[in-house]
Amino acid sequence: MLIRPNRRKFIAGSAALAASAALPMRPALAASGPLSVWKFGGTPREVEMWPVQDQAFQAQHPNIQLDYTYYFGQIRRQRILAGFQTRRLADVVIAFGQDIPEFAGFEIIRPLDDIAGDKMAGWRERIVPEVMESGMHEGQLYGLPTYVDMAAFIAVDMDALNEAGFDRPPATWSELREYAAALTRPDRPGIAFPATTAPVDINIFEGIAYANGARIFDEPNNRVTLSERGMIDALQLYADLIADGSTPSGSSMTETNFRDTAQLFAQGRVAMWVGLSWLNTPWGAPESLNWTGAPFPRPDEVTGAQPPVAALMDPTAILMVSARTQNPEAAIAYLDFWSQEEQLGLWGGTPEFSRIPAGRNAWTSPELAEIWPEWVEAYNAGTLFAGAEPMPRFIGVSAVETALGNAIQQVVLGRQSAEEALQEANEAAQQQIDILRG
Amino acid sequence: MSPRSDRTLAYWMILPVVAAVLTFIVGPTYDVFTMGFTRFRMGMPLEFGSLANFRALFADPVFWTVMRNTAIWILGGTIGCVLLGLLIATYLAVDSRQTMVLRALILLPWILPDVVTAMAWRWMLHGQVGIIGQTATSIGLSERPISFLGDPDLVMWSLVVVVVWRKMPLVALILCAAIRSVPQEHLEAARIDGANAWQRFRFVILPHIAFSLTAVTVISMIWITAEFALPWIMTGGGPANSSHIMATYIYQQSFQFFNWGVGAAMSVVNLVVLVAIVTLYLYIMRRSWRSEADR
Amino acid sequence: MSRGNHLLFWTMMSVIGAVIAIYVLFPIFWLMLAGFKSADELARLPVSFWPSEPTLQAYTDLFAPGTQSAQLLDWPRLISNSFIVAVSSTVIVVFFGAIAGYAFSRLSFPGRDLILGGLLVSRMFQGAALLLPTFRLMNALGLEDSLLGLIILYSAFGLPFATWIIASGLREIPVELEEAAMIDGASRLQSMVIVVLPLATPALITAAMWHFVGAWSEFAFASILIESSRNTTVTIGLASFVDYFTLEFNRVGAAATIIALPVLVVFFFGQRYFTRGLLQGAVKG
Repeated sequence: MLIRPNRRKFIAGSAALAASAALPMRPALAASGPLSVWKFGGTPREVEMWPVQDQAFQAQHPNIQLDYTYYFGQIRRQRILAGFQTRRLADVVIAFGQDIPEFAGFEIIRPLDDIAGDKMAGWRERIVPEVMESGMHEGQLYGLPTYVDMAAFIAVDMDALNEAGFDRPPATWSELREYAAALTRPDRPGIAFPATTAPVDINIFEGIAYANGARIFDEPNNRVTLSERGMIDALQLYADLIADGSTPSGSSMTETNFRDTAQLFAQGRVAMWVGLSWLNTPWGAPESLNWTGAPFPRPDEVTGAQPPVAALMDPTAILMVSARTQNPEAAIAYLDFWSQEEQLGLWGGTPEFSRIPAGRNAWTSPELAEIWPEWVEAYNAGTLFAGAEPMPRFIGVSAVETALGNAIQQVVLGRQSAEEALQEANEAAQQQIDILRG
Repeated sequence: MSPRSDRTLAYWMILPVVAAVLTFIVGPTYDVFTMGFTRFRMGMPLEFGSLANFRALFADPVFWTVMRNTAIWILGGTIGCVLLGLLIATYLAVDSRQTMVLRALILLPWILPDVVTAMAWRWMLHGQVGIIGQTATSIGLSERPISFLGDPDLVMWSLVVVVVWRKMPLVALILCAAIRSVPQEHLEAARIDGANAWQRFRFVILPHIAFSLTAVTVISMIWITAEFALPWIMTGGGPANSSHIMATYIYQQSFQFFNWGVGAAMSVVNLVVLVAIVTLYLYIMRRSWRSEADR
Repeated sequence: MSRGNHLLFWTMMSVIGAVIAIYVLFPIFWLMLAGFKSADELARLPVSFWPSEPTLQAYTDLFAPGTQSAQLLDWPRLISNSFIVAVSSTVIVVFFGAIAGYAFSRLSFPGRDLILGGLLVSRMFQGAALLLPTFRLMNALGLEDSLLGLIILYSAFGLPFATWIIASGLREIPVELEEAAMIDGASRLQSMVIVVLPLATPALITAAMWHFVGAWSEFAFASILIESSRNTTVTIGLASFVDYFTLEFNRVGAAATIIALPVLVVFFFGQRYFTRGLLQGAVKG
């Protein structure tokens, strides 16, 4: 596809550059001029709060004309790609960490190291290093993360758990199967896991599989690795839970996404559900529901060839700067604004936002300690992010994850064994990768 | 009035429409064709005149599933739209207070954007948290929750029901207008000759609306083919690819996988198949089409 | 037909009518009901049919400051944008569609059927495949992110079908009327404007209503062409309520009800002409 430069914009841009070059350098010149920002999706409260905070930014930077646009989350890639094709991209794009390699590879976004200047030191100071790491790609920082989501977690109905004679959430896969079977009543399956084609549902499974030493892609060798032992055994866990009769029917789960499973759990229709770290988002759980969240149980014995991963994390509102921005100063000012305590503190435990905060200070907030004592404890002990890795990200990640999602559905529906389904998915994904990468 | 000046006049009269279509539909379509025959690497064009995209497309194991699903989608949707539309049109064509109100309300499914329609239907059809799924279970239709969108055997048909819901109202309104334009005298004459309701419908109304019927058949086929937001948001092609159709495949290849070329190749296949179907259909129906057009 | 047959016929008609009404209207009704439920109630299982504590919260949320929709979406502006786009493109489509439709139905010229068929078939190649090329074209023309761009694009998309509808409507009108006018000394254009088009009101109204609704509810192209909040249309606003995360069908229901109203009004208004046009026009003529 040919890229037609937009002449009008190009001329305007060059003129602006020339004008700024002609100006004598002034010390600490405040950023000014137009700045466009696109944000995609988010929890309802987050979507509401973002523009509210933007007003504070506007007040601090009266010379910047901020044009903030919120988009329906599901058109994220389409919107950004189309903007890229025609060189009409917002100066700042707020998207997913998983997008970084592709956006960087297509030169849609630029490394922040080149333009952030002295601001970077402050970011590193205020943001948890492991989270900051999730904005890195090939040794350079491409995005400023504001929070992360982690996979996989499990929510447990404590009353149901106690009723079945247990006193703590399951810790291993075999315990999980045992618990799920014991918690199952005729009108209430023991566990539900989401299995639609929604990317999040696939991310949740990836969290489980990576903990078993599986990976979906081997970057140095350009090879899809869906059909390896660690992945097969993880998918077998899903299959076993269904075979045990501990879940809703397979075809029900293939239409049940993460939000539906949350609703089922909150309404006492299942005793456990598998999700990401936003277990406590207000899904309409009644006050009376006595529940707790815990990391998803670990395999009894890791069978994958790779080191097991404690959790997968992805910053789903990471601020990236367009490679074509005409106003990097304003863009950096905007990123810097969102790296301040007042903004990072937003994610400090409010169930309505329900994200794992990136700001160091948020970890000392009483709200977070009250809502997620285990997280704060683990953070203080230095184990929360230990062994955590970014969610799979490489050029072509979508094709591989889609193939994996397809395999999950085949198995959940009982149409194929885990091994067959993953073998087929592996071939299909490899083919897609080969086309994309040429 | 000379035929010659008429001819010139005619060309001037159709010029704006033809120009608009050439610029905004044929132009981008040409672009897509070009892309279909261009080899891409990492989203960047390498060379034109390559069949690599088509080879990749035909090698994709999903391809035949997609073709089969598309056939159900287009044929099921079109037949549903036209038959149900005709039934409803016949009903609406009768003058009464109820039909006057219904004729206005029937347009409602058209008003909401696809995204909202898709989300709302997904929500309603869900076997466990949806009103339709819940009702089906509670009135004893089924012991276990029915997963309209999660069961590979049901999903395509569920999607067809939704697309018919969305596209049928206008078909019904067009046919209703056509039926109402049947001269009362003809119906009266048939009645006097002793024709019953069915015979009047079959021998007076149907021939009169044949042209409109052909038109709406082709038109619904076209609408249903162009539709992608509905199936994409409702199922994302799942479960296990059992509801992947050409439109969702194109969208997925282009915007999810960044395989522009393969997406474009599928678009080309899509267009070729459709032109073939429509041509065949118009050829079969040429009698009704001709007789009306040349009247 | 005997009286018993008649009764049977009408009973059947009523049953069919009821089934149709449920199929067509229930989903809409259900969304509207959701607009009067609280978020908590929507989350509750089993699903309740009637709102247990009816509330207007979702409606006030749409316009109240401090909520997602009011912060992000200036609803009066969205509605007026959509209205401008839908009305302007409808006028364009009906105007040029009527002219072209006349040519296709009344004049004979080489390639007539082929061109008309081609126009219609061109509409087939839309949807996912054309998003990106169209976006690039609109940029090249400098029509990106503007209501004018949407008006032009929707008109181009709508014209083939409007032309078809109008052409087939015109065919139903007896040529003799027009010939009579021309024998009386009217030119072809005069006879077209004075005699034929008024008789074609039903077709024109059908085309107009069809296009208006289509333009009012279009999402895919608007979502990719419109960037700035001042040019946003209602469908884009509505979509922002239905992300993966949300259970906000109360807000969707409220907003959907509000945006459906103008269309219903237009339709009721059109409906009167629709019927009158039919009575005065083709039938008696």
